[in-house]
Parts: sequence; C-alpha cells; structure tokens
Amino acid sequence: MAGSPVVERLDEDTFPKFLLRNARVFADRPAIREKDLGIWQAWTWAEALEEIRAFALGLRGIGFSAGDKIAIIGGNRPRMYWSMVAAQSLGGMPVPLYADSVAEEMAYVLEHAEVRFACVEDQEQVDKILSTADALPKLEQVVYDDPRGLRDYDHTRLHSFEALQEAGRAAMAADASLEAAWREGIQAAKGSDLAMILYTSGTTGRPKGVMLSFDNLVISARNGNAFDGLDEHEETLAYLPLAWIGDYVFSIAQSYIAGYCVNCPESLETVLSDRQEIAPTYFFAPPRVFEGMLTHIMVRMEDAGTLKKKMFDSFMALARRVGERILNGEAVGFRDRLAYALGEIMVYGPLKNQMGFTRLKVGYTAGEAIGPEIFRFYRSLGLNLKQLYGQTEASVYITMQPDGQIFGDTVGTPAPDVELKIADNGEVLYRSPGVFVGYYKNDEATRATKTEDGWVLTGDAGYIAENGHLKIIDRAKDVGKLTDGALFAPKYIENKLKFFPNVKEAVAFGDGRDFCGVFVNIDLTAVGSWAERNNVNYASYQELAAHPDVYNMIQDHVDQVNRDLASEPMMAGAQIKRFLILHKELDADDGELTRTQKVRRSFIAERYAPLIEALYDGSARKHVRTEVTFEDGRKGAIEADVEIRDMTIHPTSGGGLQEAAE
Amino acid sequence: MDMLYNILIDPFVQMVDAPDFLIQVVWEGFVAGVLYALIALGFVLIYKASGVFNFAQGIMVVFAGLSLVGLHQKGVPAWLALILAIGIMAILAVCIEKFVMRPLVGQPDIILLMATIGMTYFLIGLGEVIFGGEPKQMITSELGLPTGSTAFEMGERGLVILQHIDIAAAVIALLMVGGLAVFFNRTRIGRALRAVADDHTAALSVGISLNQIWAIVWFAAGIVALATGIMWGARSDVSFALEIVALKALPVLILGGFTSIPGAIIGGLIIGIGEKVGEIYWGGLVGGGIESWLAYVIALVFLLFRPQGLFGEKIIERI
Amino acid sequence: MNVLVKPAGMQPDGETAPGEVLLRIDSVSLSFGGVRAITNISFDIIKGEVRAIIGPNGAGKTSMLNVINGFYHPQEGTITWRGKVRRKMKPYEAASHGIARTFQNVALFKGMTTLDNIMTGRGLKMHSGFLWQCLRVGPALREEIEHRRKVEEIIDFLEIQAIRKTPVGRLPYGLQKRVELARALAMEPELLLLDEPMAGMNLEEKEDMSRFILDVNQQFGTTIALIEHDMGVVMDLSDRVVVLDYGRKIADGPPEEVQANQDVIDAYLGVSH
Repeated sequence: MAGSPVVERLDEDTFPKFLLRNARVFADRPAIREKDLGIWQAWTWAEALEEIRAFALGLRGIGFSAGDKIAIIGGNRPRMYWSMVAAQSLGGMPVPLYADSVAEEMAYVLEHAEVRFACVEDQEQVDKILSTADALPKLEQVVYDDPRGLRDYDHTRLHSFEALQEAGRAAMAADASLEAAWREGIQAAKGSDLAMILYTSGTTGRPKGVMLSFDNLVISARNGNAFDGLDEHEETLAYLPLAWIGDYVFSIAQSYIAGYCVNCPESLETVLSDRQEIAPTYFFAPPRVFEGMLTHIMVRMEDAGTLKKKMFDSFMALARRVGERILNGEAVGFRDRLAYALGEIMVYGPLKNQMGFTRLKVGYTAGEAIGPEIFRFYRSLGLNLKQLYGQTEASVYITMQPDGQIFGDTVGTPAPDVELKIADNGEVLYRSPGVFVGYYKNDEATRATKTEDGWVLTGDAGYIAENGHLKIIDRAKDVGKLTDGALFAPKYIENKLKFFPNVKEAVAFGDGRDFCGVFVNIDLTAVGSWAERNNVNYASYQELAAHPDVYNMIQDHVDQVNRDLASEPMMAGAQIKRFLILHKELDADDGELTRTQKVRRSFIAERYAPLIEALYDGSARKHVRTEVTFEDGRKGAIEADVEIRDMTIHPTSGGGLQEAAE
Repeated sequence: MDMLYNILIDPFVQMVDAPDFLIQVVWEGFVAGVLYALIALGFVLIYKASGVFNFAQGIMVVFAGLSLVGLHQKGVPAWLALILAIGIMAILAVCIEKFVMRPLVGQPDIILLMATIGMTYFLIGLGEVIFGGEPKQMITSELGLPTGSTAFEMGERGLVILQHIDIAAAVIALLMVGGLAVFFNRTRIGRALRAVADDHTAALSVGISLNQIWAIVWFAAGIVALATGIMWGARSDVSFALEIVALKALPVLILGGFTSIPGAIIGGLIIGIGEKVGEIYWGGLVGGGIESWLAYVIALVFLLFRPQGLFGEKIIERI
Repeated sequence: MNVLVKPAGMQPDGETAPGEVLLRIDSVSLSFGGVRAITNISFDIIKGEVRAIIGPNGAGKTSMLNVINGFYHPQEGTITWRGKVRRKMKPYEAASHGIARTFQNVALFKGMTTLDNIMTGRGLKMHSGFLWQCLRVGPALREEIEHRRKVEEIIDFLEIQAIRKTPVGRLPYGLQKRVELARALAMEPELLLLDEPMAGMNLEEKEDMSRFILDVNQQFGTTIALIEHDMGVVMDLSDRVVVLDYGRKIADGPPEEVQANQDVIDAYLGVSH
C-alpha cells in the first residue's frame, strides 16, 4: 500500500501519542481547518498540539483526572475534537453526544455515563444541560466553545474554552514540569486502556454505552488507512455527528494515524459549498446524502436548456456504458475512451466540481442500502465510491468493497483482520480486533451481543452471495412472516421504494398480518419540482402528498416494486397490497426517526394506529389527527384525510433469481 | 425563383467572393454599433436608477459636444474645454436632479417622460442661444485623438481600411464600459446605486440619499453623452441632427433590455452591424435605404418573441 | 448550577446612558389630506429597552414607525431624539443618526446577494475616497476588509452563512426577513425599528426570530421598537408596550398591565371577533 513510510512503523498505540508524533513528523502540515467568518482558518499539527495541551492542562486545573468522563456536545468544530483528545491525554474518556437530541435524552446519557465534565459548543447546549442539571448531581463543570449569549450566566462552574486554555498556558508558564508530566502521562497510557464511550441510538430501548479501547480504534483505523492507501495528503470534511463512531474514526482515528487534514464546515447548511471549496480526497456519506445530491442534479437538469440537457443525457448514457469499466481498469475500446475523455471535460468534470469531488480518491457509503442506480451513477463518473458494512461495536469496519470488486447489492468482503459467519437464523456474526470491550454498566446486554469467544451478533440478517460478498437484507429481528407464512423483510421492501427519487421514506408493515401494507413519505424536493413543472399548486407538504396525481405516481412506483419482488422467489410472497402517503414528513423531533434518520417502525405503528387499522380494514379514506412537536418543544397538531390505495399482486415470475442477483 | 435566389443565395455569394468588403462592412457596422451602445448606455443608467425613460439622452449628446466645441471656438484650449464640458455636465446633472427629479418624484412615469421631453426642447434652445445652431467641426486632433487610417492587405483578397478615430472610439467605449462595471461592483456608491435601482424605500432606510444618487447617475450619463458626442462628432459634425440618431437607441434598448448594461452593448452591436450588412447586401432588393428603418423592424420582431429583451430584468445582479 | 439571569444593564455606548430616554414623541398628529392617521400621540422609548407598539389593523402603528424614521413628517407635535428636538428629518438623516428599520413586507434589494444587501447597511460608515474604491487599494481595501469582517460577524450571528452569495429574491420569506434584520444590524443602530418582524412566519421561524431579537438587545445593547400582532411574542419580548387604536394611544405600560387593560381588551375584541 502507498502509505508513507513513517506511518507504517507504528510505535504509537493511543491518539495522544499519535498527536505527539504528528507534531514532530508533520509539524507544518495542516491538521485541521475550520471555516469561520467566511475564511478557512488552519491549524498545523504543531499548533493543534499546543491547543490541545493548553486545554488539557486547563481541564486538569478544574479537577479532571484519569478515569474521568467528559461529555462532548456540539457540532464539528476543532475545539470539540481537541477536547476529546485532551481528555484522552489525561487518561479520561470522551463521551460524545448527539447535539440535536433533546434535553431528556441527553440527561439519560449524562447520568448513565456518570460524567463529571461536559464540553459543549454553545448557549443552546449549555441551556439544555442546565435545564436538567438538578437530575445530574455528578456533573460538576461545563466548558463552552462559543460565548455568545453566555456572558451573563453564572460562571462558578461554567468555563469558556478559551479561559481554560489561558489557565492551562499560565499554569505551564509558572511550572515547567507540568508539560513534561503531561507528556509522561501520555506515554504511560496503554493501547488496552479505554479510549471512549459511544452511546448507540438504537431503534428500541435506552441507548447503550459502547466502550472502545485504543487498540480497538487504532487497529481498525490503521487497517482502514492501509486498505485504501490513505496518507497525510488526504483532505476530509467533518460534518457527521460527533456521537457517531464513523466521525470519530474518520475525523480523529484515521486522521491522527495517517496525519491527514480534517476540514470543519462553517455550518451544516453550508456543507455543500464548503465541500466544493475543499474538494476532499476521502469522503464518507450515508446513502441519503448521495441520493440528495443526485436528486439535486436531476432537478437542475430538468430546468436546464435543451442543448445542455441533451449533452448531459448522451454523455451520461456513455458513462453508464463504459464509465465503471474504465474505473475498474477493464478493457474499453479506444473510441469510447476518447468520447469518455471528452465527456470528462464537458460533463463529468464540471459535475464533480459542482459536488466537490474533483480530487476524490475514495468515497464510502454505509448505514443503509444504497440504490443501485444511484451507486452506479457516481461510479460511472469515475468516482471510486464503495460500500462498507460496519457497526459501533466493531469500531466501524466489518466488510468493505476492495477496489475492482464492486457490486451494488452487496457490501463487500470481510475487512482486514475480520472473521465473518452467518448463524442458522440468518444473523451475521463477526470477530475482529475492533470488537468493543463491552457495554458500559450493562453486562447483560454485553453477554447478549458478544459471545464468550468474541463473536458479535450484528442483529442484521444476511447471507454470503456467490461472489463471496456479504449481502444484508434486513434487521434480523424485523424479518417476520405474513399469516400465510411468506417471508416478510420490511427494510428490503422499504429500500426498494426509497430507491425512487420521489420517495423519501417508506415504512412497511406485514409481520403477523395477512398482507404487506406501506406508508410512504414523498420527497418534497423531487415531487415539488415535478409539481412546479406540471403546474400543480400546493401550499404544504400535506397538500402535495394528498394530490391524486402524486398518488398515481407513487402507485406506479409501488407497482414496479411489486414486479421486482415477484421476480425473487424468497420475497415474492410479501408484495405490497395496500399503501398510503403519510400526511406529514417523518421527523426525528417527533421520535419517528432515530437521530441517524432511520425509521422507528414500531413507534410509527403505534403513533399512526388508526392508519394501520385503515390499511388492513379495507377502507378507502381515513381522517387522522397527529400531534407534532416543534423544535422548541411546543406542540401542535395537524389533521388530514388520508387516502389508501389497493395494488395488484403479480404472480411469481420464474427464473427471476438471475435478475435479482444482477 | 429569382426573388428567392436574390434573397437567400446571392448575398452570401457576394460575401464569400469579396471577404475584404464584408469585413469592411462589418467594421463600419461595428463602429456605428459602439456609438449606439454608448447612447443606450446613458439611457440604461438613468432608467435603472430612477425608472425614468430619459428622452433627453440624445440632446445631452449634442449639448455635450456643442459645449466642448463651442468653448474651444471661443478661445478656450482643448484640454480646458474638455474639463469645462465635464463640469457643465455635472452642473446639468445637479440642476436636473434639483429642478426636475426632486419635485416630480413619485409622479406617474408618463409625467417624468414628458418632463424629459420638455428638457429636450429646453436644451435645444439653450444650446442654440449659447453656441449657435450651425453644425460645427469636432476638435478631433486638438483633443489628441488620432486621425488618418491604416489599410490592411489581405493577401490577394483585397484591402480593409480602418479609420484610427474608429479604433479609438471602440477602445474608449470599452474603457468606459469597463470603468462603469468597476464603479458599479466595487464601490460603495456603485453598490448604493444598485440598491436604489432595486428598491427606493429600502435604500432610504439604510441611509442612501436618493437625491445624491440621482445627481451621480445623471452625471455619469452626462459623461457617457460627452464621450458619445466627441466620437460621433468626429465622424460627422456636431449638429442638432445628431439628436435623431439618438432615437436609434430605442431599438437597441428593446433588443438588450432596458435595465442591462451588457444588453445595451450587445444590442448596439447587433443593430449597428445588422443594419449595415442589411443595407449593403439586401438593401438593393427594395431600392436601398433600409438602414434607416431596419433597426426598428428587428426590434419589433424582438418585441413579439422576447419582450424583456436579450438580458431581461434578471441581469441586474451582475451588471 | 444556576439558571440564567437576565442581564440587569446594557453597556453604554452612545451619548445616552442606559435607562435614559432615547426618543420622545410629544403630541404628534399626522394626517393625509384630511384623513387622520395619528392623533395626538405621546410616548417615549428608553435606551436599552424593547418597546412594543401594538394595536388592531389600521391603528396607525406603521405610520408611527414612518414618523420616527423620517418617512412621514407629522403636522403637529415634536420628536426628541437623544435630547434634541427635531421637526423634519429625512430618512437618510435618520439613518445616519442611528435609526435602522425593517419593513412589514420586506424591503430588500432583491437582485443583490445577501452579502451585498448587508454591505449596503455599512454604506454610511464607509468614507474612503472614490478613486481608491475603484482601484481597491490602500485605505479603501483596508476599509472594505474591515467592513466585510463586521458583516461576516452579523452573518455568523444570524446564522445565514449558507445564503451569503444567494440573490435575496430567491430566498424564502422567513430568510428574507432575517437578511433584512442583518442589513439593519450592519448599520450598528442605536434604535432598531422592526415592523412586524414575524409576520408570515411559521412557529419555528418565529422562535428563531424572537431569539435573535433578544440576542441583539442583550449582546449589542440595541434599543428596539417593534410592531407585532402575535401577543405571545409581544409578552415574551417586550419590556413596555404602547397600544394604539384608531390612531390614538389607549394604553402604555408593562406587558402584564397592558394585557389586563379593559380598553385594550375591547379594542382587540372589537376587531378580531
């Protein structure tokens, strides 16, 4: 692999040790950038070391010591990342939380993790913590990054990040031995020490705290770097939640090991233009981001002039034909290569520039199944987009797609050092150096997930396809049966629906019922643009969702899914018999989606019980009233008459296996 | 059949046969177009900032030219005459703002248009009283503008002759447009000007003085008029007949859109080149003289198909 | 841990100290061709406060704002601004004296970008020579950078980074209102007049706007006078409320007091039901 020689000789086994090494080896290379007041500010590794050291010593000054936990709540800001490594340098553990979770959710984790310290981004987070402070007797000190609005707060146990750093610097100036002691502390740490605790949002029950050691993270991240030949020249964009294992691995673990630079966007809304400016070489995004980008492009092409559209269409057709083969290094005729090169100048290049992928070396997607068309679109442009399958409990990597072996419907072969097996009930199990230490204060759950000999149950059902790649079909516990015994894999059906740009979310029901019924959420961007082009007036999501033409459009999509399902003997029994379009968008604030935007099927079933009833009692319309929560916690309600449509069931088509496997 | 041949084939055969002549024709059209564009530019500036269709732009060209030449005739050195002419345009701008715009602000557009027509006759009268009504020779060489011409030989295919004054006209027009673009996009006053063009109320609320901006705009239009007057005068004479030429700006504006500076330029060039080429190659079919009305026909066709002009309203943001 | 404490005082940065009267309206009457819009109204605005002007439709609220920032000139009465009586003031003079405002129906430069719109708010504070500006060197460049920085701080403050380069005509209404506020803030006003800052917004946008208004008041110590229909918002935001009805003042005082006033209740009931 092409990693730099420095990286291959690794004596370091913790991130603070990597920090010391990088400050020495990559002293003048950028470690992290942040766009602030419209300008990219950069810190070199040497500067990052100084910032982290100052903060660590300041933190120590207010009583932080080995074994302490510090909650990290905020967006992708350099200081949030620094505070994590600073805590680790003192032998403590960061516990990153989802910044958009409501105060009660936060309180549970803060209480369960027994954090004494919290480092948060701004007033909003300080307020959340203060509002639940009474229930958190263990919480002692709160540090904030952005002082806006906090000037008049009581500062006895509230500190600004800068003030702590100043205190740290002052302490160091007063006592030179402090710095040496800090370094010694770092060198004394071992790879087997706990590095952090991450709370998984989980679709059911309380979140569980996944304890990961430095060894877990370092070995996984090093394998990840080696797998794709990542080195200190990479640029990445940090825009995913800090509380998600992927962000820690991509933005800290792999960055510290390879020495590459992490870029923090100005705000979540500016990610697109910031990505354009940075043009990352290594990029991760969940499928919905790639879907969103493609929808955006398609919508813009619909509005483009005829000539432009023709050019786009013909070059995209060429790309679909030869783009992936060129990317995979297969033999392609000279004329096609020439035409493709022209396309690169005329279409692909500008498109990649628009998306900020001009310099992309490798991109990954995971978390959900990605639509095969979407996946192929990016690859045909010459972008090395790949899929991986991972979990918090595995320190991300379980399977990855090696270069040249990319299949749309499978998620790759086991990552380096990972063993894989399928249980009798179809559940996927793995064993690797990345396997977590255990769930914090929850041995029962640990025992239920991790066997004595180190195998972890993923909770996902899947099988190894003929090409040796893993294929995931659904959550193991969600795979159920209709009353006639037909296999019902809801996620599998939902994903097929969601591959249509007009469908944003779908929720399938059917376990223990006579047939499969589906709730659909339309995609406001895609359908809205369709409405504009077809002079359909609408004032709200609700009105658009109830429009008969929209219903017809979705009905066509559902029918297509049924045809697809009919072609797969295993799945043909659970075709969609009735569907409806929900009158509101599913929202994490209403508890309908998890913080990672996955649907919470059982919660939705409960919340929309009248609609489920109508789905199965044959009625054509149903009046419903739904409570909604706004961001500030206020409640309101929306009412609607929801239409339910019947579908035709297609007979199982013979020989469909090949088609399905394609 | 012959008719069709004469319209569709013959002119192009002629063009290919004598490319030197074609280039000469296009160049002549180009120079005329540049001057149309300059006049249209004056219109656009005022229209953008105040929504007034300034009928008097044509006479401002004449008035500016007359002031320059007239002052020189009275014994003022050319450079000083130029500076004084600029000063006269500044005074004119302030007066127009104070005595026409300010009292009439908020009145219907038609009232303001009538006011500019009134201004036209006032300026004609004033010009005649001060400088006399007879045509005057532009003081081209005194201003340091080049005279003479250069002939380019095109191998065996003939000869193209470019008048230096025409080249200078094109260059000056280009500089003027570039200067205006910088002024609009880079300066505080330029930004304020765009703001006023966009929304009067909002402009007032951020402390922009409409009166000041209007005076500046009229002054800018005056400077453009002076440049146009010099260039046009150098090609023919400085006389009140020039005012008629200014009406050519109307089709140019229809073509380019009333609010777009690039529109004024492109529109000017299309009209200038179009009418020269039309006259030479197709004019004979109807007995010649189409140069005087072809521009209006082109504009009419445009009105039917694209009433907002080539660059419509939306161009404001970029100018 | 302690709960948050509302700050007691604002930092003094003008000629007027906090708690002193910034603007006093004295027996002002305004009519248009015999139709009375405002009749004999008097009230004052104290430095550092959030002052609400409420009333049913047609009560003369917007006319009142227009009088304050010089769009209208009252036939009778006086206006005292920072201790100086003024009778006739042009809007741009009002602006240069530190009065900024937003409008009920959003008055932005629709063809210009968010950034340029906000930059126009700095116009009064830019002084470098014309030629320097054209050339973008020397003092003009320094000035441009300095003002751009100020504008970026406001962009950051109002969280509109993502629309910096978007022509405002293309923005949704709620964001346009925010840009309008940004432009007013760029003037670093002493008195900020907001004409129905939350009209036409959904609940979420209203919450955001309320937060921004309070932040402006607390962080910058800007005195704010606002017209608003949403009584909840008025009660939450304002320190004192003046109530107008048919061009007359019918009540003046703290929100709770005004809310309990029988005349106010009648005026509102008479209109809204």
